[in-house]
Amino acid sequence: MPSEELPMLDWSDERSGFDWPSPAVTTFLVGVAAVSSLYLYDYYVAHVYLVGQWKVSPLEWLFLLSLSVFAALVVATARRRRDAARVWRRFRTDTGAVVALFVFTSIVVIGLFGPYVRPVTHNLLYATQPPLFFERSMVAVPSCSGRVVEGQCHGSLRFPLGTDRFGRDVLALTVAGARIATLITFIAGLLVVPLATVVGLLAGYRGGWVDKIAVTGIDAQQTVPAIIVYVLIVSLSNRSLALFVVLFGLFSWGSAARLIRSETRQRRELGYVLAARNLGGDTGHLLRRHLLPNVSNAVVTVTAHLVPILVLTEAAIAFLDLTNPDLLSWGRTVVSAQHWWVPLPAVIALVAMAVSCKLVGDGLRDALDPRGER
Amino acid sequence: MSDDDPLLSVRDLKKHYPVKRGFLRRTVGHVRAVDGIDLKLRRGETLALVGESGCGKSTAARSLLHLESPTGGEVRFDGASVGSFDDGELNQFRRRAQLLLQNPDEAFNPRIPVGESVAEPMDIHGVSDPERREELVADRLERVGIDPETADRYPHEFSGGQKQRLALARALVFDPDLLVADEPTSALDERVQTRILSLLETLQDRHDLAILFISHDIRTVRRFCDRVAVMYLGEIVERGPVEAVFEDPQHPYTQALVDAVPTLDPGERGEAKPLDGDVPDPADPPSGCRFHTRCPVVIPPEAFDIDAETFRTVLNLRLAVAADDIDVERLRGRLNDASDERLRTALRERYGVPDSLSDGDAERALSAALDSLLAGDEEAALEQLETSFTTVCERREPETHDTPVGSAACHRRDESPPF
Repeated sequence: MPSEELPMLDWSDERSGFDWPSPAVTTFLVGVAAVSSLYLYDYYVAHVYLVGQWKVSPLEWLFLLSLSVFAALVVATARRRRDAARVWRRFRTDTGAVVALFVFTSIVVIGLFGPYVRPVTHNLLYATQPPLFFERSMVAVPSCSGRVVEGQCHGSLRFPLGTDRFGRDVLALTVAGARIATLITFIAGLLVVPLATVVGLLAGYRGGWVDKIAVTGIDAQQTVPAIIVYVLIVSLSNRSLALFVVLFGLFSWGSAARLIRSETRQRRELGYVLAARNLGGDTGHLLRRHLLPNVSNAVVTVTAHLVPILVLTEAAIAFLDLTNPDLLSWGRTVVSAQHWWVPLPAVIALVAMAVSCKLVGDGLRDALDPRGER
Repeated sequence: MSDDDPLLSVRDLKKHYPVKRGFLRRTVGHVRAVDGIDLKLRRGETLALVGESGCGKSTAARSLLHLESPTGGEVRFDGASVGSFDDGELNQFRRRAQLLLQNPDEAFNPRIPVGESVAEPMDIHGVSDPERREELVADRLERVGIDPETADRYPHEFSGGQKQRLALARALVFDPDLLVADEPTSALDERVQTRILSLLETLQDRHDLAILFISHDIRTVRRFCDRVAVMYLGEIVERGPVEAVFEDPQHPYTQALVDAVPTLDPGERGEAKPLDGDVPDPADPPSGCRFHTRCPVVIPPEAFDIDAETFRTVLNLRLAVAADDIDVERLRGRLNDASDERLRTALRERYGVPDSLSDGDAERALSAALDSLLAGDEEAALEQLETSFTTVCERREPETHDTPVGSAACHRRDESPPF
C-alpha cells in the first residue's frame, strides 16, 4: 500500500460555471457558420457565380455543410489519437476491410477531384470508340482515335474505356458518376446518419415525451414511401439531385434512428451509466463518452447500409429515367448505353462502392470493439 | 460540525413510480418502492440496509444520492439538504458521495480502458493536468491492489473481483466522505468477497469513510457493519446495532431473515421455517403492517382462542380466497368428484389448517366460510373470513417502538397487547 496520505486535489482551480464547447463541436459550429455566410454572400451579393465560374448547386451546398461535420470528425479523431491508433491497429488486421477501405477511398477521391482532371466532353467525331485492347469495324465508327488494322478500329489510350454514341469518354462518365455517388455518400454519412444518431441517442436516453415525439415522428415518416413522394414532386416541378437527396435522406433516417434508440435504451440503465451519473456527469458527457461508443455498432452498421442504399436508389431512379438527364450518375450512364462497354465500368463501380462500403463498415465495427482483440 | 451530527441524514425518504395504463397513459397508481425511510450515518460508521430482493434497497440508494429525484422526504448531507443544492453544490456532493454497484461486469464502459474509466471523475470535474491525473490513478489503483501498469487494458480483461476493486478505485479518486455500496459483494465468490470487504475496512479506517452497505446477506453484514436497518417493502421495520439485532431480533421479519441463513450446526438445522411467498406488489402494499401477509407470528384476533401458528394458516387460506387463487371446480375435478367432505379436508390440508380449530367459534366461522366456498359463493366466503379472521396487524400500521438497543415497528411490541 502506498503512503497513508491520500493525494488530494486542490479545488481552488475548480472550473467556472460555463463550459466551452469541445474542439470538435467548435469546428462544426465554425464550419456551419462559414457555409451559412457563404450561402448568404452567394444569395445577396454574388448572385449567380460564387467564385469564378462556380455556380453552386443546392446539392453542393449540402455537401459543403457535410464537410463541416467531416472536419469535426477529423478534429475529434485527432484529439483522441491514442484511441484512433488502437482502432486502426485492430482494423489493419482485417485484410479484406483494408482493401475495401482503399477501394472506397479511391472512389471518393476520384469523385471529389476526378471531374476536374477529366471533364466530360462531347466529340461526335470519336463516337462509339471501343475500349483499349478491343476492336471494332471501321464501318461502325465515324473516325478512329487509335490504330486501324485491316479495317478494324482499335481502342486507344486517348479513350481507354471507349466512348458512347455521343462521343463522350466512358472514363469521364464513370468519374462523373463517382462524383454524384461521393456527394450522396458525404451527405448520407455526414448529415443523415449524425441526425439519426442524435435523435436516437436523445430519444433512447431521455425517454418520456422526447422519446414519444421522436418515435411518433419516425412512425409517421416511415409510413410514407419516399419514392412515391419523389415521383409526385418530380412530375410537378423540376428534377434535381438535391431534391432526391433531401427526400430520401429525410425519409431514410427513421429506421436508423429507431435502431440507435433501442440500443441506447438497453444501455441507459447499465452500471457504468449510473456510475458516471453519480460522478456528476451531465447528459452530454453520458451520451458522448458512454452511450455513443457503445451504440457505435449500430451507427457504423447503419452508415454502411444507408450509404450504398442511397447510391443504389439514385442509380435505380436514374435508370427509371426519373432524374435530370444532365446528371451523369452511374444509373443514367447505364440506361443511356447502347454498347456493352459503356455501362460496364459504371456497374462495376457501383458494385465496388456498395461492397466496399459494407466491408469497411464490418471492419470498423469489429475494430471499434475492444473485446474482439485479434 | 460536532461529532454528534450525522454525515448523512435521511428523513421520510419516499420514491414512488407512477403506474400508467391505457391509451391516455393515465396514472392509475404508484409503485411505492421506498415509502418513508429514515437513516442516519455518521463519519467512519458502516450502516447496513438489509432486506429481500425487491424491497426497495437499491431504489433507496439511488434516491438518497439524488440519482433519481425522491418523491418526498429530505436527504441532508453534512447538514445541508441535497434537494436544494445548486449546480456547484451538487457537483461537490457528487465528489463527496460515491456509489459502488452490485455487478462489477457492467460497472465499466467496455469500450474504454480501465485507467481512463478510473480517471473519469477527473474528466467530469475538470482536472486536466495529465501528470496529476496519472499520478492519482496510479495511486488509487495501488491502493486497491491493481497494478497501474495494467491501466490501459479493457474491462473484459479483468476478473469480477478485480473489476470491483477497480470500481472502488474510481469511487476513491476524490477521497469521498460517503460510500454507498449497493450489494458490492453479492456477485463475487467468497474469497473475493472477503478481499473486497477487508479492503473496504482498511480504506474506511484510513479515511474515516462512512459506508452505507446495502445487502441481503446477513453474514456479510454481521462481519462488516456497525449498525443495521432492516427494510421490508419500502419501509424500515427494525434498526439497531448489528450484533444485538441479529442475536435477538425484535421484528419477526428480521427473525425470518436470520433464520434463512444456512447453518452448519445440525442441532439448529430444520427448525426454522423459511418465509413463504414473495415480497408483495409494492404498487398495492398490504394494509396495516406490510409484513402481515407473510408474518409467521401474526397476531390472532382477540375474539378467538387460537395460537399464532394456526391463525397464520387460516390467514393464508383467507388471502388465497381474496387473491382468487382457489379454484373449487378444478380441485373437484382433480379429486374425481369427491364429496364436499373430502374437498374440505383437501383445502385445509393445502393451507395447513388443522381439521378442527381449537376454538369453537373460530371453527364454526371457518366451516361456514368453507361451505360458501364449496357452494361456489366466493364472495360470501371471503366476507365470512374477513369479518371473523381479522388481525390488528392488517388494521393498523404498527408504531415504531424502542427496543433495548434500537427500534422495531411491530404490533407485538405494543404496550397493551390487544390479546
